[in-house]
Amino acid sequence: MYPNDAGVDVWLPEGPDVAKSWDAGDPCFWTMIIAVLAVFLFGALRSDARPASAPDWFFMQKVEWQSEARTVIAGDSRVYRGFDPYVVASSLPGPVLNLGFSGVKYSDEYLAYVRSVLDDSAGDRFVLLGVTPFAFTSRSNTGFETALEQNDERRMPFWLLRSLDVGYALSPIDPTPFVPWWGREPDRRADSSSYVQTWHPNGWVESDRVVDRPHETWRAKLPVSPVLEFPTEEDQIRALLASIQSWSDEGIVVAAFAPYTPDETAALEETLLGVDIEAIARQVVAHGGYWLDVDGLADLRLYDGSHLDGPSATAYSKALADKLRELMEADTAVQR
Amino acid sequence: MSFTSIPFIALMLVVMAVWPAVRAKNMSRWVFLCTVSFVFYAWWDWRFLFLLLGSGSIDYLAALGMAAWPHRRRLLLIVSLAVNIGGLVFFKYLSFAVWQLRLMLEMPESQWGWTNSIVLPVGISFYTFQSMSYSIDCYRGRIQPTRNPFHFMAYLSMFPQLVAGPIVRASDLLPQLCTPGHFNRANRFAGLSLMTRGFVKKMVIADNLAPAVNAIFAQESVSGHASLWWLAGILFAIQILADFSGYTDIARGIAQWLGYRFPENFRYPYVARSFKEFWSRWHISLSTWFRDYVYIPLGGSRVRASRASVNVMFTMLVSGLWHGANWTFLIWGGLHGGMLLVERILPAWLKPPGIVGAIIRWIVVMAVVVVGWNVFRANSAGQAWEIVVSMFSGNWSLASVHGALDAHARLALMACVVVTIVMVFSDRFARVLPIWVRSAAVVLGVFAAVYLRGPGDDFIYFQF
Repeated sequence: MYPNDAGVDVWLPEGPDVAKSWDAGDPCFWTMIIAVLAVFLFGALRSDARPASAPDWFFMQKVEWQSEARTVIAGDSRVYRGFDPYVVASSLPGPVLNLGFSGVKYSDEYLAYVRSVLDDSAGDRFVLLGVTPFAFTSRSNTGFETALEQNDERRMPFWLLRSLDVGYALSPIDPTPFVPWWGREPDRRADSSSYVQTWHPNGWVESDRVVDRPHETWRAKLPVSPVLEFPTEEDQIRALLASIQSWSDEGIVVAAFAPYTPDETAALEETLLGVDIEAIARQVVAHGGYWLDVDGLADLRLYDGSHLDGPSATAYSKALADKLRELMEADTAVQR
Repeated sequence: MSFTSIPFIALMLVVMAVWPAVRAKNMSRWVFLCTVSFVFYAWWDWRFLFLLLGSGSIDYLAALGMAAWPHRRRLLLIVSLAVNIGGLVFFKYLSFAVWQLRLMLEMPESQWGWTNSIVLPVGISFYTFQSMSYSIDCYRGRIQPTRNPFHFMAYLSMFPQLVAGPIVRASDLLPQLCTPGHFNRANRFAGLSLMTRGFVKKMVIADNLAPAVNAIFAQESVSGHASLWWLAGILFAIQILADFSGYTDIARGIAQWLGYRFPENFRYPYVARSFKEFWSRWHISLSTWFRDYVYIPLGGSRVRASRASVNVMFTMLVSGLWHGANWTFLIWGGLHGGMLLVERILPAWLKPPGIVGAIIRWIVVMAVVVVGWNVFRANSAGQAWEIVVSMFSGNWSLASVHGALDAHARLALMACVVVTIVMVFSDRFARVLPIWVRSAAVVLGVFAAVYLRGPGDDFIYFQF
């Protein structure tokens, strides 16, 4: 009564067995050729194509970069979601990589990794550090450590995985999936944990999510956040400053910034965690770094009260990179 | 490696290039299939390759022993089954059993704590069952054991069906592997069509539904809206069918490309109007395995009615437990077993004839199937109970349905309708369609799989 799906082969003559996988008259051969060409041609022509990477090993590859960037950006989720290396590359020397990890803290191990990603054979090198009060608590280094552990469990050599990753092998015609036209505005429920996000192979996660009254929600969460149970560690602040000093001495341009947060929320976070960001800013400058304050960006959107959405991340990243350029040029002028 | 990964496409290109050169001779064919299959499996974790080789070797030797020492057949079968079932129990059920004991006896977490770190080897349930069927069939004298270890390993580990079926019987595949296969244009194109259909089902339907389904089941507290949970059940029913039958289509397509045949695993299961019919359409290779190796040896239906009922229920409970160590799977198996028993004893007047009767029967069967899928997908037995209570709470809200259907899910539902129409149409009218139409359908399928693919993850049945 119901068709057997094996019926698909009855319409072609069986024909004799052949010795080759492909021959010129083989419909299978031509179909595959046309399919591959169609995919690649469309990928190359579409205007919204941007290299993207599979999320399953996105963070695993992030802990494997070695001596390959001239500009790196470090920090926690506010950095990996809120800092777009594509636009930074127009102001600062590339390649630019985003080394942000969830819940990262500035441990010796993480700082050493950040340094190791810089290409020492290049000329100018830049390190941008996103500084949040959460980065100096004694909690575990969640995202970074998890990625390291996952890599320990992985059995395949990284170079092989990487060479097979579509984001690298097929860039810039990577077949990034469409967001359907009716899905341009994400419509997930506020209590859902699902994000709408694109995983870029340069380390940026372009994100969005619908949360009702994001700022109020985030501020309400703060007093009950488990992070607040961990005391702030002064040693980590000192380790970060020591690294800034050491890198500056090497000739690396180091700049730090507090990822965008509304003033009221930032003040609450500092109070709850006992971290004075302004004092850290002064210390960064005293240790040879730049402190980046960006004003005048009115339309930035924090989709959950804490993280920038894709367009805001792009605008904010551009403004930060331009600000650093501006400060450096002012410095050069003073030296002259 | 997963079928939906770049490394797999690279591996398939190698297979396609080398296969014509190696297929003619038995030894080169078997060694090549073994090599490719081992690479395919080791890509997940090379350590588990030794498990596959070890348990397979014991079955291979046990079968040879049965032929050499017929009077020791029973002992050798017991050894083979003990090794297979022992491996399955250790990797799949031990940590769950210890966890349950801890709860009952209030044992500390540290006691038998090492069981928490047991990792489930991908596809163990599938290849273990395949290997056991070989030993049992040799014991029963239905097949002669193969003497060549590469022949046996090529059968056991053949990469298209290694990790998620279909479970191919030795009596079916071993003789096929003794031939070079029907490697011709017709089979290659048919194989390519099947593979494309499988990729579309998996990547466009299942992977686009996954985020919506995961988000609903990730709720900390089960919402009281019946509509949301009926929707969740329906979405998961579509997701699991597209996911699993997609895998099967790809596996069967690869086999057909090589010139071999794998059995059908799904035959439009959601048109079933009875549970008996459902199980003759859903995961056919597993349900027939349980029928032949569990249900019939227990006596099947040729015993007293009460004993036959026990046989049905036992088989369905074991079938549920096969999916994993969780009470939800056991309850799901029990639910289907219970419905099969109800069907047996239901008086004729409760089975209305005609079209209206058929529609009513279909609605009842599908409603229970959907309830069953919610139990199956639930994160715990507690959540399953809350979901079932919510489903029958009578609290209907269209707003919750609208909120749950994100853009990906809506795309998947549209794709589901299109794929179903294309499947039925192409199966019925394949003979009259010109070649360019069939080629265009494949090209569109590839295009959709690439550009409309969803953010879902691995195949669901890998975890079983």
